[in-house]
Amino acid sequence: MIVRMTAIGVLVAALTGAAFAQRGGGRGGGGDDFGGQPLELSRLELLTRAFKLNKDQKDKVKAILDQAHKGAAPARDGLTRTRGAIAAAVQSGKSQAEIDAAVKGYAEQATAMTEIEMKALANVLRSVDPEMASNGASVQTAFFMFRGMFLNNKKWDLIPDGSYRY
Amino acid sequence: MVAAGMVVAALAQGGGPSTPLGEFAAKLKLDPQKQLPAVQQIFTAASKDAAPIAQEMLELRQRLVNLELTNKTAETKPVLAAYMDAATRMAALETRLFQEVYATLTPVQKQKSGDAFAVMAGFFQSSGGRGGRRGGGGE
Repeated sequence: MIVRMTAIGVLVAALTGAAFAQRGGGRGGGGDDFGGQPLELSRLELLTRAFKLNKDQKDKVKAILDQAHKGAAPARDGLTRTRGAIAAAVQSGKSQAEIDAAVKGYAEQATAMTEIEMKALANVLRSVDPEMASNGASVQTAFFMFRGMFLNNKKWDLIPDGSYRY
Repeated sequence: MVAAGMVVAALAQGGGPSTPLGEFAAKLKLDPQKQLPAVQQIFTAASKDAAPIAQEMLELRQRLVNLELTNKTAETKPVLAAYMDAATRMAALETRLFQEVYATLTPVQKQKSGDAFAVMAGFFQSSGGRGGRRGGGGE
């Protein structure tokens, strides 16, 4: 529990300073030195490096995120559908009340997706070595990477490029 | 506040195709001289309103993961309600912004504006960004 509380403290700390900047998921976290060559890493590879995952841990993280991606399907589809509904409402000159209702529908889906992402992150943090789960840079890397992680309907393990947002 | 500053900085650079604003402009084929400056102004003004909402959403995401980590899942309901409220305000802001831009579009651009609204999603929030890569410049 002490270790877990340390991890929580790290998350809180990640809110301050430059953490709010849009981070590239590939910064490695954990203070790794990847050398001077540009690298393009998928999310799983980024997590593997950030948390120094061994094969078993990597498999476990993959299983957690595969399951979360599968479970995110309704929210993922809902985000697309409700986003389209807002645009359609504006384009067809619907009343502001109707537009507001469409906005609320979208926010519901965004909240559902957020809950899925944060539960998945917690499960990942539980599965890694405690000392890595308390590493501020690693946790921060993962925290920012998880937003929009399950928006692609085919796979989550992509090279994050910021193109999936909600 | 940093996020708003970053958006403003991106706008100052003209919002090239790799930026969300550039992507938005490309979807609509905005006229760089006649339309883009006004749209940039609208986005810049909105980014200031969006910054505190984005910060609130970020903090709520952290509270959610913290509650999960400490097995206090029963306490997530009010946090999710707060997130829903913030997400509603952010989506309303994006929609208001879209409506402002929509009013300035040509009929042809209006027909294609649905795709542009889609790329506005999360415009003012921090994200994984363009990750998966690391340049040689260090941090």
